[in-house]
Amino acid sequence: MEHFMKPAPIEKKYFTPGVMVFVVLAAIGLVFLAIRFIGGIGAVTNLDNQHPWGIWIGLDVALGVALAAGGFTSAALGHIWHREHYHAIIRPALLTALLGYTFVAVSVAMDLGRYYYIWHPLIMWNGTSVLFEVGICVMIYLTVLYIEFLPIVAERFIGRVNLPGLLSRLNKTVDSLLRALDRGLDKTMFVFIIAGVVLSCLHQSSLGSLMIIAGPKMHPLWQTPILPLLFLLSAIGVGFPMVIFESLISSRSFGLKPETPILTNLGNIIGPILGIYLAFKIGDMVIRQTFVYLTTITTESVMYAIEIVIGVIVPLRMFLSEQVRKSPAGLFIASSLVIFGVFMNRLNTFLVAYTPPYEMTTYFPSVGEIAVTVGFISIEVLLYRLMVKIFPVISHPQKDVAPQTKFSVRGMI
Amino acid sequence: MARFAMVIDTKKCVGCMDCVVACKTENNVPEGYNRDWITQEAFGNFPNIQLEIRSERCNHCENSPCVSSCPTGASHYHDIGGVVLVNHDECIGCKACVASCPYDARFIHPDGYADKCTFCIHRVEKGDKPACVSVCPTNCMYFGDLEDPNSDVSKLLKSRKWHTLHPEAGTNPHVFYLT
Repeated sequence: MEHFMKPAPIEKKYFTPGVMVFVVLAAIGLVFLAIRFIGGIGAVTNLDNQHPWGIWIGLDVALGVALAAGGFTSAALGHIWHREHYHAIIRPALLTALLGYTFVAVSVAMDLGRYYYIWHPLIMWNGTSVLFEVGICVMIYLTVLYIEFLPIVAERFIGRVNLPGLLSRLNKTVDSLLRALDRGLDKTMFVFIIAGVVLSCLHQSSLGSLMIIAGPKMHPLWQTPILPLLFLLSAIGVGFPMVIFESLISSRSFGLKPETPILTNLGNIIGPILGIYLAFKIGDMVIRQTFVYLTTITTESVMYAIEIVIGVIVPLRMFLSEQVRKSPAGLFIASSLVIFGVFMNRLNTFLVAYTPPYEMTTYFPSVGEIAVTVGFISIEVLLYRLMVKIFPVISHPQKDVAPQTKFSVRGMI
Repeated sequence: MARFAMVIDTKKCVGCMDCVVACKTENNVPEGYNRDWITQEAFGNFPNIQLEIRSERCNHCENSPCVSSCPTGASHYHDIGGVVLVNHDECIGCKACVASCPYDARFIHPDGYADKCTFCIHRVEKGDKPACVSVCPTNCMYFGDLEDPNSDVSKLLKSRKWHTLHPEAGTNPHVFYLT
């Protein structure tokens, strides 16, 4: 008999030895973050006036946004192309995107010289600025993500609102508020889903333009007019591998059966997308004749080769093999490689390719910067685990369910 | 409309760094930061070697990447002379301008905002010359209006050979080096 998937809160113990490791890493990150606020950016980072952006922008922001692309790619697949069988992966992807973007915003604030002025772009517009576009887009998209998540909150708490103490008098009000919200969103959700996909395409590509403005400081292997397109294609390419990666990890962590059939279907799409990305990447290299930089062994050429061969070509070949796509282990390794490839791409574009004209010291991230980055990732993992315990995010197979009931699409179009 | 520019005679400059000291004093530039600096560049092969000493600063470009990349519009062209300035109250310290400047002319002030050479606009508005120009012991620096054909800078650019820094960046800089 076919199993019907229904999202439900996970009922597992929160604290495990693995979780404790993340708690420790998060705590270390927060300590360094406190030092950043007391002593300034220079106290924690190795940034200087020649190297304005380090891993907080290159990885926390640019890679964070790319890895959160699963949210909009799976929303597009499930809701716009109406591939109903993918509904089981939309909620986990949405939650990952939500947490990812929240920490992208936090990381940007950390890296600003004056974090308390982060609201300035909202009222002081400069239409020619790439960073303005990224800032506004991320702010709106983050709001859209929270709105997309609201039906899940409503689903969890409608009829179950139980506030403690004196607040319990408000139980009925909150309940009717949630019901009204749920009804309203049910009719308008398509606007937010389409807005989410459009906004994602906009700022995913703008993040590429962010390094075009560095002009002659960038190494020719990465400085290309189609950098925005490459960023968008790589983000779309890494969206589904990220969903697979995270789905396999969470099903292992929560002792669930991996959703292999859905993931195999997803794997079918990844190959062609990676192929298009690779074609543009190589085509750009051939047209601009930048392959001459690969004939000598330098940091740049080696990093470029690693990025392309291990990060794109190998996983592309793996996703084209049916054997790999049908095994959870194969899917996991191939997806990890795609994620590694995008990690290398963002690292190369933002840090390796960037050489200031008067370089006094080369930039390498400090312990503090790495600790904060790792700390943020740990907090995201901890919050994800907490959220899936509270809210119906991860789908479980249901046995006694009538085939007509579409549980996973409640609150969505 | 005036268009301010600076012309620096590299044949006269000895790299004494008086301009650097004057700038730091005039503009209270914090320790460890500079709005202008001296570079030395050697050209050619032995025995035909040339050494160029340059006093460098913000080039106050016509097409400034820093102005177009600023998300809040804190970096802007000043009404007088097209000088590129930063409004400190609007700046959020995002460092997009630092990343986009091909000349590394900008730095983040310890107070968190982007800072750089202003062509000493507060002095120029009063009719004085920028601090660096006024202290130069060899008189190698000239400041004036490019649109006035009788100004020092216009005449020098007509009569002498000159170059700008990083012309490939397409920024149309307004600091010229006589060679």
